Amino acid sequence: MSKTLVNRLSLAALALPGLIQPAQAGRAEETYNSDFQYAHYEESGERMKVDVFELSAAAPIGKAFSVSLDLVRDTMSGASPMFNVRDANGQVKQQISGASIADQRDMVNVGLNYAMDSVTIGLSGGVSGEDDYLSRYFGTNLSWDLNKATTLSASASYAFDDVFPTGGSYRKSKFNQQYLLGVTQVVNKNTLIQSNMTFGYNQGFLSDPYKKVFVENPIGSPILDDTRPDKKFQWAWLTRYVGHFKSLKAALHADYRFYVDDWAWSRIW
Amino acid sequence: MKKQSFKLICIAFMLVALSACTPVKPWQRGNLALPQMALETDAHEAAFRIHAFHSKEGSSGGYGGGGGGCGCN
Amino acid sequence: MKRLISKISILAVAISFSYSVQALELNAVAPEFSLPKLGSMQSSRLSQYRGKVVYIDFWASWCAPCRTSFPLLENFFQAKQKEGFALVAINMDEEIAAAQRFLELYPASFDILRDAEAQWADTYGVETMPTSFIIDKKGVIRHIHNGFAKDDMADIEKIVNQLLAEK
Repeated sequence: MSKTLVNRLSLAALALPGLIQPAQAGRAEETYNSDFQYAHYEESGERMKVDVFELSAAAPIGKAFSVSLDLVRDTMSGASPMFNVRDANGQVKQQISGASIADQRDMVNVGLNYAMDSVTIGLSGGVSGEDDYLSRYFGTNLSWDLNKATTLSASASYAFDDVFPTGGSYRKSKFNQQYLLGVTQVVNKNTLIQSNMTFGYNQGFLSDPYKKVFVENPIGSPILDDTRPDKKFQWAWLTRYVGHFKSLKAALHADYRFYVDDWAWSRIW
Repeated sequence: MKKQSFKLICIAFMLVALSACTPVKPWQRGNLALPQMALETDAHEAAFRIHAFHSKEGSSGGYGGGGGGCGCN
Repeated sequence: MKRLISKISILAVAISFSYSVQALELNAVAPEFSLPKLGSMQSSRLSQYRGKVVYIDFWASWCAPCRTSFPLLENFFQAKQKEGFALVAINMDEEIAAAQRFLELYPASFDILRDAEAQWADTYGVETMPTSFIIDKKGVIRHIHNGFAKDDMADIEKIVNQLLAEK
């Protein structure tokens, strides 16, 4: 029975500042919206398979408010990596858990938006639960249209997560905060660019209870529990471009994100 | 050093793009209002894709709300 | 620190690229325009409507609130037409085909004019899409309305009835 905690990120991942509201009812449209998606994710070999079912609905309230509700169910099965070990030839091989597990994550998210003349304020929150993980989160976001060409956005989100792994007898917690500052600029009638910077801070139990580490030349046992620091600071900078090409009747989207954290991981994609 | 040059590229791109800024009148926002011009064209698909990336990369952040597009109020 | 400075300067550059529009004031005389009807060579002038209460609506096919406004305005126009109410909808689409497709979905019996060069939208100081101007029987602008929401219809009806009652 082995799972990968990181693969089942709490809704903190989805409760990104300014949660991407799947269904959006705003003052502009004044319509009721609902949307459903089924998605399938699969890794090679015997590894993880995930089926995701998402249902969203949004409704306008009065002249300025809109409310939204999202329901998500992930069902996961398959084996996952436990640790890496050097084999007889000196090659590093990944050790996969033997058993195939089946697990389910359910999530409920609600959002409330208030639209004023040039400022929109949103509040969102929800709960995500699995056999061994519980996340409660909320966040707030603000969007300020300066001159119909430049929009500033700011948001803050907080997640309180509990980890209580199967096969273990403990319950540990972690606390995540994320702050975003962004600007969206209309460049010309065919082009938009957006640039967002986020600062994240995670505290508490950040290790993966189902993973192990294989140590060469150990003092005692070569297989140790995955133990990570109890603090993590993350910084990410995303720049996006959207451009319309009349001759193709299509829009081009290009995203560039730079990520760095104090565990010495950095990503550029 | 590589990180620094990537950031510089990003800043340079933004400066070039912003210098091409032309004022857009409200009635010229037709193309910006097209569904394919939304920052996220399909919210569910975007949420799923971003979730998968963050999970596999062990990184998170960067995405969030923003304005632009429709000149309608 | 260097990063912060460059971020701030980018923001400053972005903000400086705003546009300013001189919107018409209330109680100003509505500028006389002459615009072709959609899909024809025939023109209409604002002065043709003198003596009636006129609702001028600047709209486009891509504008979401226009999908709400058109059916409501059509009903209102049909009800009030005989009392001396006129409705002129000025289309701002870049491509005429888009406007025609919109009108197939939301048919209108009121006059649809076309301001392809956006000359009059500029003069009238249109700040959002849609923007509407209610003109009284003497040609004076009495109400400017930015955007459109379903609930706005009640306000519009009240103002139009008030202006129709005036001499």
